[in-house]
Amino acid sequence: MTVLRIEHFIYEGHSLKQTPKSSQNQADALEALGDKVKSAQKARAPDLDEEASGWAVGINYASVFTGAVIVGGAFGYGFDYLVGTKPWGLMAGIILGFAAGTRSVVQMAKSMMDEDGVETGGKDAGGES
Amino acid sequence: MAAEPGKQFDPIRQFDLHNMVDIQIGKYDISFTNSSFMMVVAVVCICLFLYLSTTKKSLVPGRWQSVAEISYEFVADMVRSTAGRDGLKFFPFVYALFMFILFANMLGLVPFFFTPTSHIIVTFALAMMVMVTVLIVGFWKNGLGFLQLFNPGGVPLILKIVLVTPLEIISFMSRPLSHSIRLWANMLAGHIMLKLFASFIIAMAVGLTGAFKLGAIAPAIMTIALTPLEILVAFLQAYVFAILTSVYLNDALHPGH
Repeated sequence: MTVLRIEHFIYEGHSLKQTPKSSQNQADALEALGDKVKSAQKARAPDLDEEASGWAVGINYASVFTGAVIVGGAFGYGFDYLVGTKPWGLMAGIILGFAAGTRSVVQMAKSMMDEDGVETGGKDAGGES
Repeated sequence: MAAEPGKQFDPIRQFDLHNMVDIQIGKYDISFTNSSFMMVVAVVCICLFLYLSTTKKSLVPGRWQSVAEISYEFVADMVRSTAGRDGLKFFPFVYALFMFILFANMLGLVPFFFTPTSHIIVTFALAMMVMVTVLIVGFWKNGLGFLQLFNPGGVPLILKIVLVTPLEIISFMSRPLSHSIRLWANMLAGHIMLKLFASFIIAMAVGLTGAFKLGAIAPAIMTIALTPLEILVAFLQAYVFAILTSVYLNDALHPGH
Protein backbone atom coordinates (compact mmCIF):
# COMPACT_ATOMS: atom_id res chain seq x y z
CA MET A 1 0.00 0.00 0.00
CA THR A 2 2.81 2.34 0.97
CA VAL A 3 4.79 1.49 -2.14
CA LEU A 4 1.80 2.22 -4.27
CA ARG A 5 1.45 5.64 -2.68
CA ILE A 6 5.03 6.60 -3.49
CA GLU A 7 4.72 5.39 -7.08
CA HIS A 8 1.62 7.40 -7.31
CA PHE A 9 3.32 10.58 -6.26
CA ILE A 10 6.31 10.01 -8.51
CA TYR A 11 3.93 9.54 -11.36
CA GLU A 12 2.38 12.87 -10.58
CA GLY A 13 5.79 14.43 -10.99
CA HIS A 14 6.15 15.91 -7.52
CA SER A 15 9.18 13.92 -6.40
CA LEU A 16 10.89 14.06 -9.77
CA LYS A 17 11.76 17.71 -9.38
CA GLN A 18 13.69 17.08 -6.16
CA THR A 19 17.40 16.24 -5.93
CA PRO A 20 18.08 12.56 -5.23
CA LYS A 21 18.96 13.14 -1.60
CA SER A 22 15.97 15.21 -0.66
CA SER A 23 13.72 12.92 -2.66
CA GLN A 24 15.08 10.09 -0.51
CA ASN A 25 14.19 12.08 2.59
CA GLN A 26 10.86 12.86 1.15
CA ALA A 27 10.27 9.21 0.36
CA ASP A 28 11.08 8.31 3.97
CA ALA A 29 8.78 11.01 5.24
CA LEU A 30 6.11 9.84 2.85
CA GLU A 31 6.52 6.29 4.02
CA ALA A 32 6.17 7.37 7.62
CA LEU A 33 3.12 9.39 6.69
CA GLY A 34 1.76 6.41 4.77
CA ASP A 35 2.15 4.16 7.81
CA LYS A 36 0.47 6.75 9.96
CA VAL A 37 -2.43 7.07 7.53
CA LYS A 38 -2.70 3.30 7.30
CA SER A 39 -2.87 2.80 11.05
CA ALA A 40 -5.37 5.64 11.35
CA GLN A 41 -7.48 4.09 8.62
CA LYS A 42 -7.33 0.74 10.35
CA ALA A 43 -8.38 2.24 13.65
CA ARG A 44 -11.32 4.06 12.12
CA ALA A 45 -12.44 1.34 9.72
CA PRO A 46 -15.98 0.34 10.64
CA ASP A 47 -16.60 -3.29 11.47
CA LEU A 48 -18.95 -4.66 8.88
CA ASP A 49 -22.25 -5.15 10.57
CA GLU A 50 -22.72 -8.76 11.63
CA GLU A 51 -26.33 -8.69 10.56
CA ALA A 52 -25.59 -7.27 7.12
CA SER A 53 -22.90 -9.82 6.34
CA GLY A 54 -25.04 -12.64 7.74
CA TRP A 55 -27.83 -11.66 5.41
CA ALA A 56 -25.41 -11.40 2.51
CA VAL A 57 -24.03 -14.86 3.31
CA GLY A 58 -27.52 -16.33 3.30
CA ILE A 59 -28.41 -14.87 -0.07
CA ASN A 60 -25.00 -15.94 -1.31
CA TYR A 61 -25.69 -19.61 -0.52
CA ALA A 62 -29.19 -19.39 -1.96
CA SER A 63 -28.05 -17.82 -5.24
CA VAL A 64 -25.23 -20.31 -5.77
CA PHE A 65 -27.52 -23.25 -5.12
CA THR A 66 -30.39 -21.93 -7.27
CA GLY A 67 -28.06 -21.03 -10.10
CA ALA A 68 -26.57 -24.53 -10.20
CA VAL A 69 -29.98 -26.24 -10.18
CA ILE A 70 -31.34 -23.96 -12.92
CA VAL A 71 -28.28 -24.41 -15.12
CA GLY A 72 -28.27 -28.19 -14.57
CA GLY A 73 -31.96 -28.35 -15.47
CA ALA A 74 -31.40 -26.19 -18.55
CA PHE A 75 -28.57 -28.45 -19.70
CA GLY A 76 -30.77 -31.51 -19.22
CA TYR A 77 -33.64 -29.89 -21.08
CA GLY A 78 -31.36 -28.88 -23.93
CA PHE A 79 -30.01 -32.41 -24.12
CA ASP A 80 -33.58 -33.74 -24.28
CA TYR A 81 -34.44 -31.26 -26.98
CA LEU A 82 -31.49 -32.26 -29.13
CA VAL A 83 -31.49 -36.02 -28.58
CA GLY A 84 -35.16 -36.64 -27.86
CA THR A 85 -34.94 -38.54 -24.58
CA LYS A 86 -37.77 -36.50 -23.17
CA PRO A 87 -37.95 -36.61 -19.39
CA TRP A 88 -34.68 -38.36 -18.60
CA GLY A 89 -32.19 -35.67 -19.52
CA LEU A 90 -34.09 -33.09 -17.51
CA MET A 91 -34.21 -35.39 -14.50
CA ALA A 92 -30.53 -36.23 -14.68
CA GLY A 93 -29.69 -32.57 -15.27
CA ILE A 94 -31.61 -31.39 -12.24
CA ILE A 95 -30.03 -34.05 -10.06
CA LEU A 96 -26.57 -33.10 -11.33
CA GLY A 97 -27.37 -29.42 -10.78
CA PHE A 98 -28.51 -30.25 -7.26
CA ALA A 99 -25.25 -32.06 -6.63
CA ALA A 100 -23.19 -29.22 -8.11
CA GLY A 101 -25.10 -26.67 -6.02
CA THR A 102 -24.63 -28.63 -2.82
CA ARG A 103 -20.95 -29.04 -3.55
CA SER A 104 -20.55 -25.31 -4.19
CA VAL A 105 -22.34 -24.44 -0.96
CA VAL A 106 -20.16 -26.86 1.03
CA GLN A 107 -17.01 -25.46 -0.59
CA MET A 108 -18.14 -21.94 0.16
CA ALA A 109 -18.88 -22.75 3.79
CA LYS A 110 -15.48 -24.41 4.09
CA SER A 111 -13.59 -21.45 2.63
CA MET A 112 -15.55 -19.10 4.86
CA MET A 113 -14.58 -21.10 7.93
CA ASP A 114 -10.94 -21.05 6.82
CA GLU A 115 -11.13 -17.31 6.31
CA ASP A 116 -12.57 -16.80 9.78
CA GLY A 117 -9.79 -18.92 11.25
CA VAL A 118 -7.15 -16.89 9.43
CA GLU A 119 -8.72 -13.56 10.15
CA THR A 120 -8.37 -13.77 13.90
CA GLY A 121 -4.64 -14.53 13.66
CA GLY A 122 -3.31 -12.89 10.54
CA LYS A 123 -5.28 -9.91 9.41
CA ASP A 124 -2.06 -7.95 8.80
CA ALA A 125 -0.59 -10.68 6.60
CA GLY A 126 -3.67 -10.52 4.44
CA GLY A 127 -3.36 -6.78 4.01
CA GLU A 128 0.27 -6.91 2.91
CA SER A 129 -0.14 -9.29 0.01
CA MET B 1 -51.53 5.99 -8.25
CA ALA B 2 -53.65 6.59 -5.19
CA ALA B 3 -56.85 5.50 -6.91
CA GLU B 4 -57.10 2.32 -4.89
CA PRO B 5 -56.16 2.66 -1.25
CA GLY B 6 -54.24 -0.64 -0.98
CA LYS B 7 -52.20 0.00 -4.09
CA GLN B 8 -50.05 2.80 -2.79
CA PHE B 9 -48.51 0.50 -0.20
CA ASP B 10 -47.67 -2.14 -2.75
CA PRO B 11 -43.94 -2.74 -2.13
CA ILE B 12 -43.39 -4.00 -5.68
CA ARG B 13 -44.53 -0.83 -7.44
CA GLN B 14 -41.24 0.90 -6.77
CA PHE B 15 -39.66 -1.45 -9.32
CA ASP B 16 -42.04 -0.49 -12.13
CA LEU B 17 -40.44 0.71 -15.32
CA HIS B 18 -41.74 3.82 -17.08
CA ASN B 19 -40.80 4.87 -20.55
CA MET B 20 -39.25 8.32 -20.56
CA VAL B 21 -38.51 8.41 -24.29
CA ASP B 22 -40.19 5.91 -26.56
CA ILE B 23 -37.78 4.38 -29.02
CA GLN B 24 -38.79 1.59 -31.32
CA ILE B 25 -36.37 -0.04 -33.75
CA GLY B 26 -37.92 -2.73 -35.90
CA LYS B 27 -39.96 -4.86 -33.54
CA TYR B 28 -37.67 -4.14 -30.61
CA ASP B 29 -38.71 -1.72 -27.92
CA ILE B 30 -35.55 -0.02 -26.71
CA SER B 31 -37.26 2.88 -24.96
CA PHE B 32 -35.27 5.02 -22.57
CA THR B 33 -36.77 4.11 -19.18
CA ASN B 34 -36.37 5.38 -15.65
CA SER B 35 -33.91 2.49 -15.15
CA SER B 36 -31.77 3.70 -18.05
CA PHE B 37 -32.00 7.20 -16.68
CA MET B 38 -30.69 6.14 -13.27
CA MET B 39 -27.84 4.27 -14.92
CA VAL B 40 -26.91 7.42 -16.80
CA VAL B 41 -27.14 9.38 -13.55
CA ALA B 42 -24.85 6.87 -11.85
CA VAL B 43 -22.28 7.08 -14.65
CA VAL B 44 -22.42 10.88 -14.69
CA CYS B 45 -21.98 10.96 -10.89
CA ILE B 46 -18.95 8.66 -11.11
CA CYS B 47 -17.37 10.75 -13.87
CA LEU B 48 -18.00 14.00 -12.02
CA PHE B 49 -16.70 12.54 -8.75
CA LEU B 50 -13.51 11.23 -10.31
CA TYR B 51 -12.96 14.29 -12.47
CA LEU B 52 -13.52 16.87 -9.76
CA SER B 53 -11.57 14.98 -7.12
CA THR B 54 -8.52 14.58 -9.35
CA THR B 55 -8.32 18.07 -10.86
CA LYS B 56 -6.20 19.45 -8.02
CA LYS B 57 -3.75 16.53 -7.73
CA SER B 58 -2.13 17.76 -4.55
CA LEU B 59 0.59 15.78 -2.80
CA VAL B 60 -1.31 15.71 0.45
CA PRO B 61 -4.78 14.77 -0.73
CA GLY B 62 -7.80 16.76 0.24
CA ARG B 63 -11.01 15.09 1.27
CA TRP B 64 -12.38 14.28 -2.15
CA GLN B 65 -9.04 13.33 -3.56
CA SER B 66 -8.37 10.95 -0.69
CA VAL B 67 -11.77 9.32 -1.20
CA ALA B 68 -10.93 8.80 -4.86
CA GLU B 69 -7.50 7.44 -3.92
CA ILE B 70 -9.01 5.10 -1.37
CA SER B 71 -11.43 3.74 -3.96
CA TYR B 72 -8.54 3.20 -6.35
CA GLU B 73 -6.33 1.50 -3.79
CA PHE B 74 -9.19 -0.57 -2.46
CA VAL B 75 -9.98 -2.09 -5.84
CA ALA B 76 -6.33 -2.36 -6.88
CA ASP B 77 -5.44 -4.23 -3.68
CA MET B 78 -8.41 -6.48 -4.18
CA VAL B 79 -7.49 -7.34 -7.75
CA ARG B 80 -3.82 -7.83 -6.89
CA SER B 81 -4.50 -10.11 -3.95
CA THR B 82 -7.05 -12.29 -5.76
CA ALA B 83 -5.93 -12.32 -9.40
CA GLY B 84 -2.22 -11.63 -8.98
CA ARG B 85 -0.10 -8.91 -10.56
CA ASP B 86 -1.06 -9.78 -14.12
CA GLY B 87 -4.68 -9.47 -13.06
CA LEU B 88 -4.11 -5.73 -12.79
CA LYS B 89 -4.59 -5.56 -16.57
CA PHE B 90 -8.25 -5.97 -15.78
CA PHE B 91 -8.23 -3.30 -13.11
CA PRO B 92 -10.19 -0.79 -15.26
CA PHE B 93 -12.90 -3.36 -15.87
CA VAL B 94 -13.23 -4.34 -12.21
CA TYR B 95 -13.04 -0.73 -11.07
CA ALA B 96 -15.75 0.30 -13.51
CA LEU B 97 -17.99 -2.54 -12.38
CA PHE B 98 -17.39 -1.75 -8.73
CA MET B 99 -18.06 1.96 -9.07
CA PHE B 100 -21.11 1.47 -11.26
CA ILE B 101 -22.74 -1.03 -8.90
CA LEU B 102 -21.79 1.00 -5.84
CA PHE B 103 -23.26 4.21 -7.24
CA ALA B 104 -26.34 2.49 -8.63
CA ASN B 105 -27.00 0.87 -5.24
CA MET B 106 -26.32 4.00 -3.24
CA LEU B 107 -28.37 6.30 -5.47
CA GLY B 108 -31.19 3.78 -5.30
CA LEU B 109 -31.39 4.36 -1.55
CA VAL B 110 -32.37 7.99 -2.04
CA PRO B 111 -36.15 8.24 -1.68
CA PHE B 112 -38.06 8.23 -4.99
CA PHE B 113 -34.96 7.13 -6.86
CA PHE B 114 -35.04 3.98 -8.90
CA THR B 115 -32.50 1.20 -8.38
CA PRO B 116 -31.31 -0.30 -11.68
CA THR B 117 -29.61 -3.21 -9.87
CA SER B 118 -32.97 -4.37 -8.47
CA HIS B 119 -33.80 -5.77 -11.90
CA ILE B 120 -32.24 -9.14 -12.59
CA ILE B 121 -31.76 -8.43 -16.27
CA VAL B 122 -29.37 -5.59 -15.41
CA THR B 123 -27.31 -7.64 -12.99
CA PHE B 124 -27.40 -10.58 -15.39
CA ALA B 125 -26.04 -8.40 -18.17
CA LEU B 126 -23.19 -7.31 -15.87
CA ALA B 127 -22.51 -10.93 -14.89
CA MET B 128 -22.54 -12.05 -18.54
CA MET B 129 -20.00 -9.34 -19.31
CA VAL B 130 -17.73 -10.91 -16.70
CA MET B 131 -18.44 -14.41 -18.00
CA VAL B 132 -17.70 -13.54 -21.62
CA THR B 133 -14.50 -11.76 -20.58
CA VAL B 134 -13.43 -14.79 -18.56
CA LEU B 135 -14.12 -17.18 -21.44
CA ILE B 136 -12.31 -15.05 -24.03
CA VAL B 137 -9.31 -14.39 -21.79
CA GLY B 138 -9.21 -18.00 -20.65
CA PHE B 139 -9.12 -19.49 -24.13
CA TRP B 140 -6.90 -16.74 -25.51
CA LYS B 141 -4.27 -17.07 -22.77
CA ASN B 142 -4.31 -20.82 -22.27
CA GLY B 143 -5.82 -22.24 -25.45
CA LEU B 144 -7.46 -25.57 -24.78
CA GLY B 145 -5.51 -25.74 -21.53
CA PHE B 146 -8.31 -23.65 -20.12
CA LEU B 147 -10.42 -26.81 -20.16
CA GLN B 148 -8.06 -28.11 -17.47
CA LEU B 149 -10.42 -26.24 -15.16
CA PHE B 150 -12.94 -29.03 -15.70
CA ASN B 151 -10.40 -31.79 -15.22
CA PRO B 152 -9.38 -31.90 -11.56
CA GLY B 153 -6.59 -34.28 -10.62
CA GLY B 154 -6.73 -37.23 -8.25
CA VAL B 155 -10.07 -38.65 -9.39
CA PRO B 156 -10.59 -42.07 -11.06
CA LEU B 157 -11.31 -41.75 -14.78
CA ILE B 158 -14.82 -43.25 -14.74
CA LEU B 159 -15.92 -41.12 -11.83
CA LYS B 160 -14.44 -38.12 -13.59
CA ILE B 161 -16.41 -38.63 -16.78
CA VAL B 162 -19.68 -39.54 -15.11
CA LEU B 163 -19.73 -37.13 -12.21
CA VAL B 164 -16.90 -34.71 -11.53
CA THR B 165 -16.53 -33.07 -14.95
CA PRO B 166 -20.29 -32.52 -15.41
CA LEU B 167 -20.41 -31.03 -11.93
CA GLU B 168 -17.49 -28.73 -12.70
CA ILE B 169 -19.10 -27.63 -15.95
CA ILE B 170 -22.43 -26.95 -14.26
CA SER B 171 -20.71 -25.04 -11.46
CA PHE B 172 -18.82 -22.98 -14.00
CA MET B 173 -21.84 -22.26 -16.16
CA SER B 174 -23.97 -21.34 -13.17
CA ARG B 175 -21.55 -18.60 -12.19
CA PRO B 176 -23.17 -15.76 -14.14
CA LEU B 177 -26.54 -16.81 -12.78
CA SER B 178 -25.48 -16.96 -9.14
CA HIS B 179 -23.38 -13.84 -9.64
CA SER B 180 -26.43 -11.90 -10.85
CA ILE B 181 -28.97 -13.42 -8.44
CA ARG B 182 -26.81 -12.48 -5.46
CA LEU B 183 -26.74 -8.77 -6.24
CA TRP B 184 -30.32 -8.62 -7.49
CA ALA B 185 -31.83 -10.51 -4.53
CA ASN B 186 -29.98 -8.36 -2.03
CA MET B 187 -31.17 -5.12 -3.57
CA LEU B 188 -34.72 -6.35 -4.16
CA ALA B 189 -35.14 -7.76 -0.65
CA GLY B 190 -33.68 -4.66 0.97
CA HIS B 191 -35.91 -2.27 -0.93
CA ILE B 192 -39.04 -4.32 -0.34
CA MET B 193 -38.28 -4.48 3.37
CA LEU B 194 -37.65 -0.74 3.66
CA LYS B 195 -40.81 0.03 1.73
CA LEU B 196 -42.88 -2.37 3.84
CA PHE B 197 -41.78 -0.94 7.16
CA ALA B 198 -42.15 2.60 5.90
CA SER B 199 -45.69 1.88 4.72
CA PHE B 200 -46.53 0.34 8.11
CA ILE B 201 -45.81 3.73 9.67
CA ILE B 202 -48.45 5.40 7.50
CA ALA B 203 -50.87 2.51 7.81
CA MET B 204 -50.67 2.53 11.60
CA ALA B 205 -50.69 6.28 12.02
CA VAL B 206 -53.70 6.67 9.73
CA GLY B 207 -55.58 3.48 10.40
CA LEU B 208 -55.47 3.25 14.19
CA THR B 209 -57.30 5.50 16.59
CA GLY B 210 -56.26 7.42 19.68
CA ALA B 211 -53.27 6.25 21.66
CA PHE B 212 -52.78 3.28 19.35
CA LYS B 213 -51.38 5.73 16.81
CA LEU B 214 -48.21 5.75 18.93
CA GLY B 215 -47.63 2.19 17.80
CA ALA B 216 -46.41 3.66 14.53
CA ILE B 217 -43.16 4.49 16.33
CA ALA B 218 -42.12 0.83 16.20
CA PRO B 219 -41.97 0.54 12.39
CA ALA B 220 -40.44 4.02 12.27
CA ILE B 221 -37.56 2.84 14.47
CA MET B 222 -37.28 -0.25 12.31
CA THR B 223 -37.05 1.86 9.15
CA ILE B 224 -34.36 4.02 10.69
CA ALA B 225 -32.44 0.94 11.78
CA LEU B 226 -32.75 -0.65 8.34
CA THR B 227 -31.40 2.34 6.44
CA PRO B 228 -27.75 2.08 7.57
CA LEU B 229 -28.01 -1.66 7.11
CA GLU B 230 -29.06 -1.06 3.53
CA ILE B 231 -26.16 1.30 2.97
CA LEU B 232 -23.85 -1.44 4.21
CA VAL B 233 -25.51 -4.00 1.94
CA ALA B 234 -25.20 -1.63 -1.03
CA PHE B 235 -21.47 -1.33 -0.43
CA LEU B 236 -20.97 -4.97 0.47
CA GLN B 237 -22.67 -6.21 -2.67
CA ALA B 238 -20.61 -3.96 -4.93
CA TYR B 239 -17.53 -5.30 -3.14
CA VAL B 240 -18.67 -8.92 -3.43
CA PHE B 241 -19.44 -8.49 -7.12
CA ALA B 242 -16.02 -6.98 -7.77
CA ILE B 243 -14.08 -9.52 -5.73
CA LEU B 244 -15.85 -12.45 -7.38
CA THR B 245 -15.10 -10.89 -10.76
CA SER B 246 -11.41 -10.90 -9.86
CA VAL B 247 -11.67 -14.47 -8.59
CA TYR B 248 -13.18 -15.55 -11.91
CA LEU B 249 -10.54 -13.60 -13.81
CA ASN B 250 -7.94 -15.43 -11.74
CA ASP B 251 -9.40 -18.71 -12.97
CA ALA B 252 -9.09 -17.45 -16.54
CA LEU B 253 -5.50 -16.29 -16.07
CA HIS B 254 -4.23 -19.21 -14.01
CA PRO B 255 -6.47 -22.27 -14.51
CA GLY B 256 -5.63 -25.26 -12.37
CA HIS B 257 -4.75 -23.24 -9.29
